[in-house]
Amino acid sequence: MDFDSLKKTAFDEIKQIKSAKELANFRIKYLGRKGKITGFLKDLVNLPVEERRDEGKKINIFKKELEEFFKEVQKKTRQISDKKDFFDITAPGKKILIGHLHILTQVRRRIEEIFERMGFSVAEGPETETEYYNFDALNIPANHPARDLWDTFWLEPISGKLLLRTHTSPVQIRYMENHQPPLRIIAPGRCFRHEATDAGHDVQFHQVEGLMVDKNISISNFKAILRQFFKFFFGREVELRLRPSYFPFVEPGFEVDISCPKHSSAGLEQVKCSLCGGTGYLEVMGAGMVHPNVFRTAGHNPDDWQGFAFGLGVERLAMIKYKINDIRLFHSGDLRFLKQF
Amino acid sequence: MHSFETNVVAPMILEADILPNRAPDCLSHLGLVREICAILGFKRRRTGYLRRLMSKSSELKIIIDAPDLCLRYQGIAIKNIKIASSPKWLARKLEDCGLRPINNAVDITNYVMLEYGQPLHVFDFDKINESKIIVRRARKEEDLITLDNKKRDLDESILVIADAEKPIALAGIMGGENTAVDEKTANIILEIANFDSASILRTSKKLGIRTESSIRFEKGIDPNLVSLAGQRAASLICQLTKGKIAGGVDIYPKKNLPKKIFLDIDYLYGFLGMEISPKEIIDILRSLEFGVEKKTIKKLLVTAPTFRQDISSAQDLIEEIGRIFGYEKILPVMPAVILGAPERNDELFYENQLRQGLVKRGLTEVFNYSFIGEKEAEIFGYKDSLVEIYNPVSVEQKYLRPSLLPNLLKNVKSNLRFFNPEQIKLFEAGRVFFEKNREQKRLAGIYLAKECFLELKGILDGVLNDLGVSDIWYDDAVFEKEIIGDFKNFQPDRAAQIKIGNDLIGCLGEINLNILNQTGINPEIRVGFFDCDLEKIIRLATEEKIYTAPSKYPAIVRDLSVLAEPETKIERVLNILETAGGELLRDIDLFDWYEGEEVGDKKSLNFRLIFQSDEKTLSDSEVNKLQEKIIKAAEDEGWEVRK
Repeated sequence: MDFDSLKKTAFDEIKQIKSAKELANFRIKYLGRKGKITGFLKDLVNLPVEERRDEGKKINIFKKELEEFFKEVQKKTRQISDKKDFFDITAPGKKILIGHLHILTQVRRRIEEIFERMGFSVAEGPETETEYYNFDALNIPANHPARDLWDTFWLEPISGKLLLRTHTSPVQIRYMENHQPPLRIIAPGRCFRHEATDAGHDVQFHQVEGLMVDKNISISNFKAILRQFFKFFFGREVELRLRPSYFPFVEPGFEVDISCPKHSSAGLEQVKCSLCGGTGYLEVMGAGMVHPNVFRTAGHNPDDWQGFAFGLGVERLAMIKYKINDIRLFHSGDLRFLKQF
Repeated sequence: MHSFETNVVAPMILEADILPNRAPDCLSHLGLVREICAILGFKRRRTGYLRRLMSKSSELKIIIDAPDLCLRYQGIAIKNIKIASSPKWLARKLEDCGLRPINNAVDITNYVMLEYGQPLHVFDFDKINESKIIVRRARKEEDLITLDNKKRDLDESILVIADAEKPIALAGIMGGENTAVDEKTANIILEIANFDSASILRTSKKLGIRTESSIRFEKGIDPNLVSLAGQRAASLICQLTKGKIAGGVDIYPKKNLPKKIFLDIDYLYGFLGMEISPKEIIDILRSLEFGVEKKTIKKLLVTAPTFRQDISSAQDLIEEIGRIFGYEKILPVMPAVILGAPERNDELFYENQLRQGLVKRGLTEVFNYSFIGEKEAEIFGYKDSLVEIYNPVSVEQKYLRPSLLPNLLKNVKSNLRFFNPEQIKLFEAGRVFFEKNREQKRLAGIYLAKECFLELKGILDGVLNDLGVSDIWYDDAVFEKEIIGDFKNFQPDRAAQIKIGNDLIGCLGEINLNILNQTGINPEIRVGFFDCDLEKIIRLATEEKIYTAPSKYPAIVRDLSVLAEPETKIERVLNILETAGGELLRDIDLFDWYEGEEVGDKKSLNFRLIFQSDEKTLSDSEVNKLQEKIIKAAEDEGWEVRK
């Protein structure tokens, strides 16, 4: 084809373009590396030298014209194409499979972070414990009615005196045997109780034990530290309430309640609240001042040191914070539950 | 919030949850009245039944043959009584407290027990052989029919009340039928005694009997309470039955004396974290019926009454003062301690990294129970060295899990009801248990996908690399005793050991069809599984990362195709090519491979070789030389090479 007819064909074709695809094809056909115009430029070598310059100029002028025109058409085509090739922006986004950390891991990590910021170290202990560390060392002797407060899983053979720990408190002793006060630790871990499973209780659960010992740690300090913890954990000020209670390894012993997150003022008896039943308070942990016998067993002089210890339930805190109503969900392995966090 | 949790059950009935250490003094109306008076600042009305009635009785003889188990025994003889139904006021009070009225004498014993927390018992005097009461251990051949009409077999561990011939009551627990008080009874013996708490607890558990009497004795009662309760009960019984006291015997060899404890007021302040005026401290103690003597300005000598069996130290006193004062009054103050960052727990730090690494790559964490049952032990072949629970809640939770696999497969099965296989990718970090108290932290994952083996391999490589662990490789499965059982649970041709250097870390593979069948999972689904020793990995982890600058000089890319026998391992080919290529062969990437008829039933491996130097731009001829070296090495192995 000669150059002039090429010019005509090109402009005719360009006017016919209706879609982005056709535009792209046009560009390749005419303006591309192996396109027609380049072809003509290459063929210049076949012409006699005097004609080459003029012919070359002609082709380049045309090339420029075509490119300009092409740009115009491109702009217009984009507008047309976008109207014609309809793209629905309301179509659902493509789901990417992501993994999830278990909610108990997330809550445990959050608890660890808050206490680490206050200078607490994190310690761990075994899940299969000896009777000594789980009971005797914690001032809970055998043949004492206090033993009945915990429903224990014993391991065969029973003469081995091994059990599944009923609380994380044994870690207090283990840690204090190997560290000199002052100290402050938390010890998260799995515990076991031989009791009937229902929406509020399970045979397996997780606790975080806390222990802070120094020369002058008082009940007032305990209140301050825990108030700080709950403030960071729930993201708002909470009121702490201490009720007298009994645990053989602390004296005095308390049950600690926090103000119910559902009410603005705690203690409103009239409100039929699903979380606190109208009392305005939720029980969250057992605590107390470390009993002198526990210090002695761990190898420290109770006259030199004093401090507090507490045990809080991880499932309990998760259920309060995330409004989970059945404790059995945590160990169900159900993705419908796990994916929500 | 000063003493116990309470609940209003009916207009005049309050239910109180007595803390175990306060049972000795508070399982009674008297104990609660004391508490209420202390909390509200009232003065308790002292009841007076101070009639001296301990005239010696020549009729009744009491012998204590087990003085270690019986700390006090008082018997009061009341004669010429008329047994009848109790008056309405008495019957109603007993019913309100959950007890059944029987007759006026027995009801008084229950009434006074509820009043003072001291259990009492009445015997028909005329049914007691030789008017002799002996407090002794039972004999093996003996038995007793208790008031609930049950025959109890006795032995030497059981303390009984006996007459000259036979046992007539289980001491502190329940009386015998043979001396029961009924309408015909004319004379009674009122027993008010105190028994060793551990013995009562043991016997109660052994025989499976719990009574209002035994639950009080098992927690321990102040023996001094016998006097007060005895006087009160004798007086009331005489009133209601028209009987007359005919003397009594009281054997109380070792008197329980009040404890004296020093309390340092500054110590109290340091403990509570707040100052309370000494006057208030003393008032509180006195309101609880403690004796207080001011020894110095800052030191008190406190006498704890004998009914407070739970008080023995200064800390106990501080609890009394703190709780009556009110913990809510203690202002929270942050402690002043030495500033110091806590030691990082490396183990937990790396564990969290591993979890995050898996989550990033699409796996979701599960928490399963630490137990497995008989069935799983069978299916997965975990018969040896299983740790058994002595008192499991069910057969499904009879053993401690030696592996994370069984419960993860359970998770797969139940989630398949709601999710497609490719959506099920789970992991668990938890402890497993073997015999001899061995417990180990492991990390395992279960992964459903068409290419689960290779995908898991890539994931593990990534996760371990994140931890700075290098030198990871995969070995053909060889049965090793160290890892419990899971190798045999893989498809034999799709199982590998995961190794770091020479250390065996764990295993990776596809679960075999037999197991899938037995677990109720469709065997057409490919189930990938990996399991690692978490502790070992953490020991090898490091945070050290050194930046390597990319080369300034361009890389040259060449493609190579190797044709080899089907059983040729890719790893081997890679090794040969890499070794031949040397340092300048920066990377070798297997971007495609296939087998089949088109390649003459051989294995065709397509590699992209990237050559680069840190020092200069490599020339074509240099690269060609290297490539020839590589090709020769491959051909030397008997493989065909194509460019």
